[in-house]
Amino acid sequence: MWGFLLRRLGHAALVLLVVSTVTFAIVHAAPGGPSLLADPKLSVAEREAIESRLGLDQPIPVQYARWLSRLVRGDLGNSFLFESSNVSTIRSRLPNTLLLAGTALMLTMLVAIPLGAWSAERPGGWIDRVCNAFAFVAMSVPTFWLGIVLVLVFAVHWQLLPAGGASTVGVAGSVSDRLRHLTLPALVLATVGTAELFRYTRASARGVFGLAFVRTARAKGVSERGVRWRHGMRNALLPIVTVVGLQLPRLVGGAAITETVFSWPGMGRLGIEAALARDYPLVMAITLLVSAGVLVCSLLVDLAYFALDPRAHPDR
Amino acid sequence: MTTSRAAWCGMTLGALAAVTSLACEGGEKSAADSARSRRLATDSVAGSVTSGGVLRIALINDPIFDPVIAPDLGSVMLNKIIFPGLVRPDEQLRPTPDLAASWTAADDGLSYTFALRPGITWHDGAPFSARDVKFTFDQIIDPTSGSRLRSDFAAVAGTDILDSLTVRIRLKTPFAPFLTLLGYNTGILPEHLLKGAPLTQATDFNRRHPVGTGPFKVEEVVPGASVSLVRNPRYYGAPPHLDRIVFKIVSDVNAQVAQLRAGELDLITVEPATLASVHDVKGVTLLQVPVVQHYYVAFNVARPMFASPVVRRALGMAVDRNAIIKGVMRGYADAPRGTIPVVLRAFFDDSIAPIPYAPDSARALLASVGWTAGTDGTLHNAKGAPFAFSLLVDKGNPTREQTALAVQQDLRKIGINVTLRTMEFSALVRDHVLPGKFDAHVIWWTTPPDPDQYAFYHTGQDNNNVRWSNRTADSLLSLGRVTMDVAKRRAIYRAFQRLEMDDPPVLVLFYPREIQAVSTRLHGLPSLGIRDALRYSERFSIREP
Amino acid sequence: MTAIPLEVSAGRRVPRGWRSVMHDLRSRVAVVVLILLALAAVAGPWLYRVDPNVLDFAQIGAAPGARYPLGTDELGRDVFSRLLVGGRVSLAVGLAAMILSVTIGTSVGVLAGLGRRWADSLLMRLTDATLSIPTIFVVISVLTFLGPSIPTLVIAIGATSWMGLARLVRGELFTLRAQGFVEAARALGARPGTVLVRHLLPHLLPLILVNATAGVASAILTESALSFLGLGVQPPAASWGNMLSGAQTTLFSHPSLAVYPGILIVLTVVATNLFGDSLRDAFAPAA
Repeated sequence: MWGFLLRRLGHAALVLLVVSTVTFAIVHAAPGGPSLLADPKLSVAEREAIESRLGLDQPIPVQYARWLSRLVRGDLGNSFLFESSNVSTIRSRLPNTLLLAGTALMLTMLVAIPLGAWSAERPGGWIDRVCNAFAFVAMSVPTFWLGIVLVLVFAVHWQLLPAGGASTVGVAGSVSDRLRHLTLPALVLATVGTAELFRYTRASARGVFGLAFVRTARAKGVSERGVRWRHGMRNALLPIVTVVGLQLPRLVGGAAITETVFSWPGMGRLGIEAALARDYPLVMAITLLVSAGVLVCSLLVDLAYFALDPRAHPDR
Repeated sequence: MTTSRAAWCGMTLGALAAVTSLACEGGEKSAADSARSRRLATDSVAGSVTSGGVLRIALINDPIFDPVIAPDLGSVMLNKIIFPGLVRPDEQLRPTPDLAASWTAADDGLSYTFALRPGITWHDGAPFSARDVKFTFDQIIDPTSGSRLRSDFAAVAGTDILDSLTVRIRLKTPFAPFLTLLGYNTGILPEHLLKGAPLTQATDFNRRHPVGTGPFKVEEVVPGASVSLVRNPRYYGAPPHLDRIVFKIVSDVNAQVAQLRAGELDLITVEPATLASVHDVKGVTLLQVPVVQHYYVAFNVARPMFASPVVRRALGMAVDRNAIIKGVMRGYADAPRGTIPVVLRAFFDDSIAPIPYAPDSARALLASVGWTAGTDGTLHNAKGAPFAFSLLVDKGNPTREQTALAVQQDLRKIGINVTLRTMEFSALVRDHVLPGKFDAHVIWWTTPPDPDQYAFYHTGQDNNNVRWSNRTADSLLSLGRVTMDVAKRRAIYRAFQRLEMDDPPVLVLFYPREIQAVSTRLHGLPSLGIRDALRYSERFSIREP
Repeated sequence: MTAIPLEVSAGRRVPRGWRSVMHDLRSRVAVVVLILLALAAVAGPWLYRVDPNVLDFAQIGAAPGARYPLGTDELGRDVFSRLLVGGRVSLAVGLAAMILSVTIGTSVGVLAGLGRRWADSLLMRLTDATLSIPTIFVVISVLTFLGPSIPTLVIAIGATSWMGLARLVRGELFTLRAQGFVEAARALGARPGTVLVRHLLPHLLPLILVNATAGVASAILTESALSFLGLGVQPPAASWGNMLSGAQTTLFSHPSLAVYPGILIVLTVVATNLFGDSLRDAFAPAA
């Protein structure tokens, strides 16, 4: 077990190195350049002064080596856009993303898994039909569109909920205010995930219910409920774990579209702004953070596989 | 979820004000809508104005609180409120006293002496003095400070402190736009907080706790979400009416419109493309203000096909600018003459005949220099090469994209093949405009309220991206910037505009007007572009109808 | 691949194989809708020859009428024509991106699930690496570096959406290996290729098919999301995605401009998913 973990850590470090190199190369090679310099009014002298201050006049491999050496010393650099340390910039946005994506994920799991199992149990029943129809529509609407419609209806027309932002200024710390702002974006974010998870749960649970060992368990006299939960769900959970695992990275990387529509100050919007403005240090810092997060999630998923079905040990 | 660490009394006051205004917003919805596209008169009846209220303005990105190093519009808006300058522009765009109570210019135009207003304090209580002015200007002209204003003030030789409230700025040559530039983006920075370290490294100051002398000071910064300013009780001018100004960071323009309609924002600027979404909103009125901008199609004069002035004039005659003003700008723009915009009334010459829309004459002119139409209608020169070029435009802005499309369509009608290429603005500037690797592109200049365009159109200047060169224009531009007498300047710039009709440096499309969608609760907004209007934030007030 | 007679739990007997796909009313409707959409996309612009790019400033936002069957958009362009041309683009992008994504995903998943430990390790690290670069960066970088054209759009979407299928295929194969399918088949003397095709694919197929249909759907939705960010099909070329996001500015004055492309997107995606569902029902193995 420990050997497995150590090996995974080693792999993770390697992956991070490769990811950072590739990202560095891509972002620097992309046309344009930092938006700092995209001012046609800058004189040649001003432009050169900025480039030399930011180290952009060096060849790319030199810049990469510098970045790497600072990284090893624990320095994630300063953002061009925000002129402050990347750590503090990310630190100010990460809790918002955790809140939004975490709420959406909880909603997703709380709604989709029970409904999926129920539907699988009674295919063709009215719950099955209604949920399926709902899931279809939910999966077919572009997220930004759903967001805009909800804003139109609830914020502009009925003025029940705020149209954007994470909180109202001046009403600091009010839980109900935060909840009001969280409602619409969390709903939008949870919608597609719930629909997906519902369908996968239903599909895999249905597949499982016909499997041999389920019938064996029934034959042995295990109660119906026991069959369903102990033998059925445990194995049906495997694909569910995978699907949830795929949605976990959003906890760190944010959901760019939803955050843009609702002006939510999270990591997704930060990532887009940084990428579009070619804010190289911030892009690299976010990439590292999200990559690390994804690797951790991937490890958790594999461990969950192992816990649910020891025969599926990934190290076999 | 961290709560802000602002002072508790400020919080209570702010919370009270916020709650009151939130409660009042409910009543706003029932306000009678009016055809009030009137100009909001500048406020002067202090006695009858209700005190208090919160104004909410939209912002696109997180600002940097330093007027010397911050270039983007969002930062500029905030810095105008927090950091006043020595002068500020009135509604005719002329400099009027702000931090400086009065000034005298030397007869030779080589120095200006400013008498500063007494009794000004910084937001942290320290006294304001000439040392701060000297510090600011030393930073501005320092090539290593990260200053964005260096080229504007290239004529400044140095600053001298005569006494604690008197400062003299010496120039290398007479510089007519100097006073206007002082009121443009030049806020004064506190020496006692920023000296000794580069401006770009003063992170706490730049992002969280700036200290200025303006009518409002920063109370709380929530990164990515909002910046709230609270009234400065020690402001040296008229006491501010508002309790708070909140800048909400809403990066998507459509989200801004949605928040305006939902009553969560009071002031946003809109492009003509989004007009339809804001013109019928209850409690919102639309204002338009001419701004010092000219939108144009830049032709690379270094390329042989654009070298001849005749060709460039013909291209101007082939594009129907009035149709663009009506169709793309929905009428919110003024028809152009040369590159000096109409809002500079003292210098704009409307007696000049503009370049007319006359496609037939355009064809004839082009034929006269060798571009004749082939059988398929496209123009070819004597060697058989077609008149074709690529037009670059930055993407994401409906106004410019639509303008480019209209230009393409108009030119196609006289037989010129234009290929449109859209790209990100930074790519357009860095990879094409600055190195001169373009045929044509659609862009604009925002300039200070002064007719001096030396940097843009004089031969060999840094911002002369079109590589235009005209000897007469060169001497006119050089003379115009050092002539102090207003009447003489007027004559010089009128001659320049007339010259531009015959040898157009660029194809001027229109002078846009800024469109502001403003809540009817707001009073005291001067008739200026948003950047300059915010200089008068102490006059703003919220009056519930 | 033989159709394996299987029974399904809960007592409902459904015929197996391709024929069963068309027995369901849902799937019949879905297929009809898809065929109609495909026909409109392919033949439409050829039959209805109005230039979708001509600006007519005099007719901005015109209501539907004789000249413009569905009216004009915010620049005076014919909406119907743009819908037809845009359909071509959106459907083509969706299909191509899905094919790319499914190919990569299945290959990686199979190689990882059946191969040796080092192959699995390597491929999973590759998957993790691709998953860990925030998709938005990859897409933005690919699109800005190569220029946002339709081929690069397909590559950008296809190359960033295969990871889910790879993991699911690998996971399924692990479960199957654990349940002894592979060993049983090998014990019976089957060669690895036969094992894969005859015994494992039937279990993988539902997963792949659902994922493929979901992939088309998601690629179409991703294109519209990218258009919202300004990175999708670039105007003046039309696609349902950029028509939908372009309609935001006229949301309050001409909401119909948003309705048409929106409905078409939802219709296509729903029909695709319905079809995928009936395919999966037809082939779902139950032991």
